[in-house]
Parts: sequence; C-alpha cells; structure tokens
Amino acid sequence: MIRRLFHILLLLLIPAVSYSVNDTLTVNDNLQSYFAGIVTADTVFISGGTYYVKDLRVTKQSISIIGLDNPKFDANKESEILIAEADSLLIKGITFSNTGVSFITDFAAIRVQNSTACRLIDNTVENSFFAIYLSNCSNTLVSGNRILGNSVSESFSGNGIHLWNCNKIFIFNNEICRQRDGIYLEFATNSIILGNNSYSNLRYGLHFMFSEGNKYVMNSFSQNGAGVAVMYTKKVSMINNNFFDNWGSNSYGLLFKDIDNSTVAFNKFRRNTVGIYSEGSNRLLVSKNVFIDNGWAMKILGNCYDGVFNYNEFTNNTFDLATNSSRSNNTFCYNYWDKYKGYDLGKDGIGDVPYRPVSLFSVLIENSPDAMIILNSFVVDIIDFAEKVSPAFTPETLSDEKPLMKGFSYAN
Amino acid sequence: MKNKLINYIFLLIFFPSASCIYGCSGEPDPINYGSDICTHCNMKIMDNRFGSVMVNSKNKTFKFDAAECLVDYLKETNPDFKSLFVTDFNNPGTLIDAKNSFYLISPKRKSPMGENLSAYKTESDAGHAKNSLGGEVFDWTGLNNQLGK
Repeated sequence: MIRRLFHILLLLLIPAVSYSVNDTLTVNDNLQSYFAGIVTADTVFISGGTYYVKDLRVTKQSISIIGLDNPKFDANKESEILIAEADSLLIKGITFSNTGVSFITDFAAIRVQNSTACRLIDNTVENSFFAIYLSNCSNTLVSGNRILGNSVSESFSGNGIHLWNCNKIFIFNNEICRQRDGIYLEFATNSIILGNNSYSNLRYGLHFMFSEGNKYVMNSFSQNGAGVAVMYTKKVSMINNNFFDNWGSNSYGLLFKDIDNSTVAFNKFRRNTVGIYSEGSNRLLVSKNVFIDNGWAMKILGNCYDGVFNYNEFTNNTFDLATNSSRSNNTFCYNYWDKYKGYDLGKDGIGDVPYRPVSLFSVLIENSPDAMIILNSFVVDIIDFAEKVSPAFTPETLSDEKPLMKGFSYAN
Repeated sequence: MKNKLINYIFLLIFFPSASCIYGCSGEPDPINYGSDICTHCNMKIMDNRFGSVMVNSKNKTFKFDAAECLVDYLKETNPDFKSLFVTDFNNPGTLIDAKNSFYLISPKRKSPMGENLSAYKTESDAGHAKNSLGGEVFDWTGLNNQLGK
C-alpha cells in the first residue's frame, strides 16, 4: 500500500520537476543564428512572419518549437529546412515551404533522425521535395499535418511522409496531396497509420516495403496515379480504408506483391481499374470488403495460396474476378455477387448452386487484351452463358459454394 | 492495278527492313519514367537515377525500376537475354552496359528497392562515391554474388 502511494507521489512529482526548470523564449527574427548558437530554452515560441532559413539544425533534447500566428519557414528552393536529431522533440503549428530539389540528396522540409519520442503536430508543408522524413526514429507521433505538394514531374518529386528504418510510429489524421508517394514506409515496423487522407499523388497514395506488423485503419486513398502498392511484407492489417478513383492502365486500388499472413477487412473499393491485385501473396484473409463500380474487382494470380475470401460484396463491377491460372488454391465462400443468378429454395439466404466468379470472357481478356473491344456485346453473353452451363476454360476449383443472396454494405 | 502491285511490293520490302532497323540491334527502348511498370516488382518506374533494362534474345525490352530488381529477375526466371543496361547514377536517364559497370552498396545512398545500390560507369566514379559515402564497390559478378547472399 505504502509502496503504491509512493509511486503515485512520484508520478505527481515528475511533471512538477520538469516544468519548474522550463525555460521559454520567443524568437522574432534571426532564427538561424539562434539555433546556430547554444540553445538553452526548452520551449521556443516563433512569432508570425516569414523566416528564410537553411538547414536549420536542432540538436537540443526535449525542445519544443511552437509557432504562434502561423510562422513560415522558407528555404527559398535551396536546401532542407529543419534537420532535427533530438529526443522528445515537439514541432507544432509551423508552415514549411520551398525546399530545394536535388538528384543526389533527398531534401526534406522536416527531417528527424536517430530520435525517439518526438511529436510533429499541426504543421503545414508546401511546395517541398520530401515533406516529413523520419529515419531511425521510434515512438514518434506525426499528427494533423497538411502536406500540399505541387509535383508535376516524377523525377522532381519526393514523398509526403517518408519513414525509413523506424519503429512504433503513429501517423494520424494527416492530409497529403500531390507528392510522389503520399505515405512511404521502408523498414518501418509496428506502426499505426490511422485516419489519413492521401490523394492526387503522382504515384502511390500509400506504398510500403519490408514493413512488418503495421496497421492501416480508416484512411482514404483516392485519385492517386497508381493507387496503393504494398510489397514484401508480412503481418499487415488493413481495416476500414477507402480506395477510390484510381484509374489508369497500371493503376490499382490495392496492389499486393509478396504480402503474407495479412488481413484486409471492412474496406471499400470504388471506381478503380482493379480493386485488389494480388501476386505471390499467401494466407490472405480478405473479408467484409465492398467492391463497387470497379473494372476488375479482384485479380488474384495463380501464385497466391491459401487465401480466404469471405463475406465480401461485389456490386456493379465489369469483372468480378480474374486469374491467370487454371487452378486456384484459395477459398471463396459467403460472398455476395450481384451477377449471381442462382436460387435459394431453403430460404437460408445462401444460394443453392455455386457461383463461378471468373467468366470466360475475363479469361479471354487475360490472354488477349485487345478482345476488350467486344465487351458487353451479344457474342460475349453467349460464350459466358455457354461456359456457365458447361465449364471448360475457367478454373474448375474456383467457385463460391455458398454465395449470399442479398447484399449488404459494411462500409457505408 | 499496276499501282497496287507496286505498293504491295514496296510494303513487302519496306516492312521487314524497317522492323530490322528498330529490332535487330539489341538496343533498348527508352524507359518512360512515370508510366512504365517494373517487370519484376510491378511498381511504376519513377526515379531516373536507378532504372534498368534487359533486352531478351528476341529483342524485346524489359524495364525495371532498380538494378536490384533486374538482378532478382535474372535469378528467378533465368531468361535468355541479349544485353543488360543500368542507369549511370551521375547521369540520370542515361543507360550504360550493366556488365561493364561498377556498383556501390552504401546505406547512405538509398535505392528504390531497399538494397542501397547505385551504378556507375567507371570504377573511379564508384570509388569517388564510396569515399564520400562509405560502403563497398562491386563489379557485375561481385554484385550478383553479393545480392544472392
């Protein structure tokens, strides 16, 4: 009991001690020279106005840099803006604009490296090459930032939020547009990406490689050049995200390449050329997603094994499913397919005859894409019907044995 | 009638020779950054410091977003190729012969697919980069052994 009391006392004391030594300072101009010298303040308030800075280096531990009246740091297209290497850093309420663009180095508006327990909150980044760049960081919060790029050409654009070799990063409620990749993670593990809106990026809204154990929840990825691509990773959860309006010949709502043991649930795929494209991905659980108005709802290649696809809804897609193999090692059950024409005599809500989601025409398209020109023609209806009556070309084992009779909309 | 015949003969002669001009040299088609897709990893090819190319024995061009993708692809599929190209890091957008190039693996120079690999035309270029960034320089065979580990 006494021990517990002591602990509580200690907890109460800690903030008191740390606040008592807090030293604050308000900077009006010569920001650069202030940070070039020995920084003593724990909290630096920056007053409104524009500051022209170059490679501002912050190395003091536990420093808070807070903007009052929305100050602007401008690098005049020459260099990086803020380079921090400080644990427990806070950067809040500052606008960063006009970093340099370079082929050799990745200029970033806010670069934080080798640090832990940092917070980057409510900043705005405009016209920058890379916006927020974390390398070798952990336990860090990136929240409420607005990243407004102006990328037009691929080589002259960087990523919005770029993580390299990080652990336990919380990326929350950011808005990212017109960068190369909106959110990019490489070797970033155990992180949570929640409630972000990434749109109109040149390449991918979200892109990650080698980033195990991350969770992506309630994000929106729309109108990106190539949608979302994720690769070479295990143990990923993607829950309740929106993948909208990713159109183009090589554009995917969600592209999986070598993703294993992962869960994709409660997501909504709308108006994408391909909703989910999966290659070399094993043991996926794809459940309770809604696919509406896509060209192909899913393309699952033959090298994907032991996937389970259940309780998904497929409405108004040109093709529900395409594959390049005559065999399938994935399980489909309890999905709703709007093209299903079966009956339910038992009245248990489950169709009595299996549904085969791969149509003969989608097999034809895989082999000769030019055949697309006869889409929706009478000939196609005939061959699809013939195939339905006696399947010969579509994968024998690929069928939904228990298709649902009624749709539902989880994501609405 | 005669006109048609001449046209026909013209086509017969012209088409094969034209396709030969484009097809027989083993030269690659250029990479269209921002629209082409990597043959190996399916990503859109964006960074013109790292693109690489394989031309197969039928003169078809296969494009890759990074040299490591090219190396992995060769290992996995063992294709019949005529020539291989990588991009000279010091001249973005310029393709050079992969087998006579030199490669730096340095954590300070990150490449698209996570191998920290950049290519240089000469050994001294690679050495220069190594001196300023650290890391290790390989030739083509060395690189293949290194990435196979």
